[in-house]
Order: sequence, then structure tokens, then C-alpha cells
Amino acid sequence: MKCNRPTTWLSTAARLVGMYLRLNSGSGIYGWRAIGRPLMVIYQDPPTSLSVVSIRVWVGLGAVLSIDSWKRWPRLMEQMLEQFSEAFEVIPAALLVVDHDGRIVLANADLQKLFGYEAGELVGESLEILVPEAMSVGHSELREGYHADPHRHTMGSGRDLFGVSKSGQLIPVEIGLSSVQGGTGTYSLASVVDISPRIAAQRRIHNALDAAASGMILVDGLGTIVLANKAAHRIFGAEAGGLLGVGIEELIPGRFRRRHEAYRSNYAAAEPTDRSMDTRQHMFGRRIDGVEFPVDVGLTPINENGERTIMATIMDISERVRSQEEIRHKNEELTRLNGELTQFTYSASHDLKAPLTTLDGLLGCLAEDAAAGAMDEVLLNADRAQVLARRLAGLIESTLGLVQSESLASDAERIDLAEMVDEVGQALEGALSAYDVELYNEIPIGCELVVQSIRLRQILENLISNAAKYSDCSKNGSFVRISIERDLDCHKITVADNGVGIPEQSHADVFKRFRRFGDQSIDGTGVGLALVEQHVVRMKGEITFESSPKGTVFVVALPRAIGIWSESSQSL
Amino acid sequence: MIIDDEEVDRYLAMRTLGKFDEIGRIAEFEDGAEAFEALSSPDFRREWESPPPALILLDINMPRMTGFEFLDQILQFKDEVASPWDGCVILMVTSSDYSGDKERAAAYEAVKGYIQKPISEDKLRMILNEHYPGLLVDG
Repeated sequence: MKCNRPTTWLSTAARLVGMYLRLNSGSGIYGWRAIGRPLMVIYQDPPTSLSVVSIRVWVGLGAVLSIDSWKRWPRLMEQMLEQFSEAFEVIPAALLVVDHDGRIVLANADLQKLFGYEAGELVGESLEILVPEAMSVGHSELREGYHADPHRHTMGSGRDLFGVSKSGQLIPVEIGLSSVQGGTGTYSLASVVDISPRIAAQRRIHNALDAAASGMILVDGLGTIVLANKAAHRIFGAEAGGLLGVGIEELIPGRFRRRHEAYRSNYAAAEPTDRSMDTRQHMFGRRIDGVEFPVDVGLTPINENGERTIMATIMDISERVRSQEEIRHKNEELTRLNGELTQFTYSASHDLKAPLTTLDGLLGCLAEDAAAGAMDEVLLNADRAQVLARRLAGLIESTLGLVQSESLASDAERIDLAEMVDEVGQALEGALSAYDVELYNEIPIGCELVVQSIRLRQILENLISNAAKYSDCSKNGSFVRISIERDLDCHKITVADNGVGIPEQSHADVFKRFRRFGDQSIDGTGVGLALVEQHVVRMKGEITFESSPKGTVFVVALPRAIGIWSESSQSL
Repeated sequence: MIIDDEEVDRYLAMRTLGKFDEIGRIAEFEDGAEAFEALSSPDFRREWESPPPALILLDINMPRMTGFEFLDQILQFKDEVASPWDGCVILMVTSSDYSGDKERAAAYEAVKGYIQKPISEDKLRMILNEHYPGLLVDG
């Protein structure tokens, strides 16, 4: 017998069993009905013969048993059982019939083979013999429950179901249940399908998905995650299986959720095609613990039995973004350094060369005047030459200082700022008294900072010496005042003077190298403030200034991480 | 006219110019800004219009206003400021041999020469002969 639709056979078998039971009940009337489908009718004429006929009409009645033939029922039953068994054997599925006590009434060859039993070995055994120990505890209750409310259904949907073979091996199965009413009770017909090949195939697919480096998340039409691979769990910091059933919007930072929801429904409503999500800007995922990270997402629509799902391929690109950022920073730094170098080369070539060319000219004059015997002029120019030579030496020294400060790699150390200001004041005493400038050290005693002290010292030296050199002799009581205040995230060291101020048109060039302002007779190299700024930048600080003819105020803001206040100064 | 921030360079320029008897008055300025302010003042102009200066020795690197900034300024106000000196020979006098500076100087029509410091009698004589032929008696 050939059959491509085992279910038809199963239902047929079930009906056969039902028929048998009806007959067994002795109702006297037997028959079967069906509309528009093959129908099995068992009738008895004479009662000892049993035959199977297929017809396509509704049949309401079979035949009426005569009263004396009733006595021949047991024999009839036997024959029917034989017939059913035969039918069972030819159905290409593992089948068994269980009575209401959970005893196996029938088990076909396929079923015996599946569970590794010999022919007839299972009949009369309890059904629980086929159920793994771990599941058997509740199984009898479930079975009884099923008997109380019998309905056709598939067992184990949504969870893994196992049978156990005679040798104790677990077999993943799917079980179809039908219930049949018999005169002496309810019977169950179970078809058992070995799903190990299917499970193996599924596992292979899952393993393949889990092997992928990208996170893969399958989302149904409502945005619920129906599948997620290992990488997806790792990326979002979820425990194994923790993403299943979660709404995809849970994995998106709150501020993007609404927009994402709209995008998702639009994407699903349109005829979706494979695509990457918007790459013009970084997208962010949100881990289960709430941490956000940049992601790259590719979308692939999948149509499954008319249901539209979307496979999202997700990559955590934190590392990429970080390295891009790093490269960008380094690039900026290189561009800046390159610009500085060009500027430096130009400035150095001019500013170091200029005094030399002037000296060259002066020496020519000296020779000329010496030859002409104009000794007064010779002496005057010799003086000029000496001044120039000294200035050049100073310029070279400060230029080297500037270059060195770029690579100055001294460690930060704890210094007492008030002491440092005093020391610098002493070192500059000559200049301060020459210009009659008073130094007010208003740094509180015990104010300690952790800084690269060479840098801070040079900053103070340059600012204070500038304040001296550019003092305004027309004002009474020239001063330079050093103070410090704490700001939210920095320490602000202020160097204020009442000098001549920096001409307004020169404010933009204050920190440029070799730029000098105001009275050109004042000795200077134009390097000082460039050096100051460089030091401040290297200390991750910031320098600003305000200047007017009333005076100049420089503010050096150093990050708090660099400076600390000692206990004693906290109270100040 | 000498525009240079370095006092000694001005001295050297004065001394060199002084060797030419044909050159009369000389004005000195410490930087472009000072020169421009002077040129903008009616009194100065009245004093210097007849005859206008024949020669401007202009340094490039100066505080406040560089030589190039000075040129830009006077060209911008050409009509009211620079026109009397239209024919005036402007020479850049600088220690810079940076090619960018030379190219930039050459781009100005008004700039007739580029002298690398130190300035010398010979260099100046050549240029004066070129632009004012017959001016120098012994040239």
C-alpha cells in the first residue's frame, strides 16, 4: 500500500480503532461517516468476515447486528485487532495506542524499531517506559489530564521532547496525539516522529550562526527577537538565550527608540531589500546593562510561509570608531606640528639670520671707518655689533628652549606654588628693580600643585619678566600680582600687571613666535610668550589674557588633575 | 624713505643712501604702521608731495604692520594716499631669502626690487641706475 499522506492514514487508523471500540461496546449499530473523503466502513455479513471498503459518500448506518451474533464478539474483536495491527504495520510511521491506564495496547514495528524493542515486547507495558526519567515524573499526570480533556494536538510544541529507547538513549521526538472513545474508556493514538535529523540540521545552522563574528538577530513583524546568535548575545551583554522574545527596541538607546520603531515599520511595510542601515552617521546599540556602543547594521528581509521577518547583522564597531578617532587625532596633531615646523623654520631663518646680516653690514662699516680713521664711528659701531651679537646669542638660547620644551618629558612633581613665585621673583630681581616694578605674591601659603615644575617655572619667569619690561613708568607704583583661584575643573593662576598693555591690533599675534609689540627698544626675542603658550598646552591647560593701556592680565588655567590643593590651603 | 624696525639696519641704510649725493631728504619709520600713519596725515603729505619720495626701502618682517601689510594698505587707499607716489620705486630690503617672500614681493607691481640684507652701495646703485637712468652722476 502506498501512501503519501500519513496523516490520512493516521486518522484512518484512529477511526479503525474507534470502530473497533464501538463494536466492542455492543451498541448494535456500527458504521462510520465522512464527507467528501475516503471512508472506511467496516461491516459484517456474515459477522465473521471483516472487510475494508473505500467509498466517497456519506454513510450513516452500517448494519444491525443480530442478537445471537453478539455472542461471537470476542472472536470478532480478536480478528479486528489483527486487522488493525496489520494496518498499523503498513503505515510508515511509528504508532502506538494507549489505554486510559497508560498501558500500551498496540505498537507498530516502526515504533518498536525506533525505541529498540522486539516485536510485541511493548504491548501491556506502561507508556512511561518510553518516557525519560526526568520527564516521567509529571508525565502520568499530563497523560491523565489529556484523557480528561482529550483533543487532537501535537505534544511538545515549543519545547524539546524526548523519548527513551530500551538501551536508555534519548531520542528527540515529536508526538501527535489523537483520542478515541471506546465503550470501556478513552484510548489514545500516538504517532511518534524521530526528529533527530531535524534537530541535527537545526543545530548545524545554529552552530554556523554562532560561529559568525557578527551579531545576527532575527526579528518578527512585531519587532520581537525570534532568533539571536552567540555574537549578538555577546555584543549586547546578554546571557545565552537572553535576547529571545525581547523587543528589538530594547537594544536601542532610548533617544532613538521612537524613530527606530517608525523606521522599522516603514521598512517592513515597503518592499524591503537587503541594505545597510544609514551609514552617514554612527548608529548606537544599547547593551542590556545600558552601556551604549556604536554599531554597523545590515538588514535582510526573510519571507517565511508568508510571515515577514528581518535578519539584522550587527557589528560592534567601538574598536573601529576608537581607532578612527585616534588616527584623526594623530592626524590633527601632525598637521599642527607640521604647520608649526614650517612656521618655525620660516621664523627661525628670518629671525636668527636678521641680526647676522645686520652684523655683516656693521662689520663692513667698521672696516670702512677704520680705513678712513673715523675711530669714533668705529667704536660706536663696535658697540652696536656687540649688542647685536648678544641679542643673537639670547635668541638662539630661547629658540632652543622652545624646541626642547616640545619634547620636555619631565615627570610631574609636587611643588609649593608660593615658594616657586618667590624664587622666580628673586631670579628676576634685577629686571624688577630696574623697571621699578613691585612683585606681589598672593599665592596662599601651602598651595601645592602637582606639575612639571620646569614648565611652570618658565611660564612664571616669562610672564613676570614681561610685566617688568613692559611696565608703564608714567604710572605710580608699577606692580605685577600673582594669584590663584580654584575653578570647577581647573586652577587659574593669574599674572596681572599695570603696565603699558599690548596694542589691540596685536592681540591675535600675542603667542606667535618672534612677534614683538610696542616699544622696540625693549630688549626681547619675541619667543617668551610663544614658549609660555607651548608649556601651557603641553600641560593640557589654557592661557588667556586681557590687555588694555591700564595693564595686562594673563590667566593660566591648569586642569585640576594636574594640580591639587594641600589640606592647609583647602580652608583658605 | 626707510621703513625698518631694526635701528642698526636703518643706520646702515641711511649710511648707504648717504653715499649718493643725488639723494636728498630721508624719512625713517620703525614699522609699516608708523609709515602708513604718516602717509595718511595731510601735513606729512603736503611736506612730501613735491617732490615725492623717489625711493622706499621696505623691510618685510616688522611688528605691528609687516612690509606686505603696509603695501596692501597703501594700495587699498591708493587714490587718497599713494597716488602722489605712483612713480616711486619701492624696494624690499630684508634678510629673508625665503622664496615665498620673493614671489610675493614680485607679485606687487609697485615693488621694483628685492634686496637681501645687508644693503650695499653697489646693490643700490644698480637699481637706481635701472629705474632712474641718468640720475647718478657717476653711474
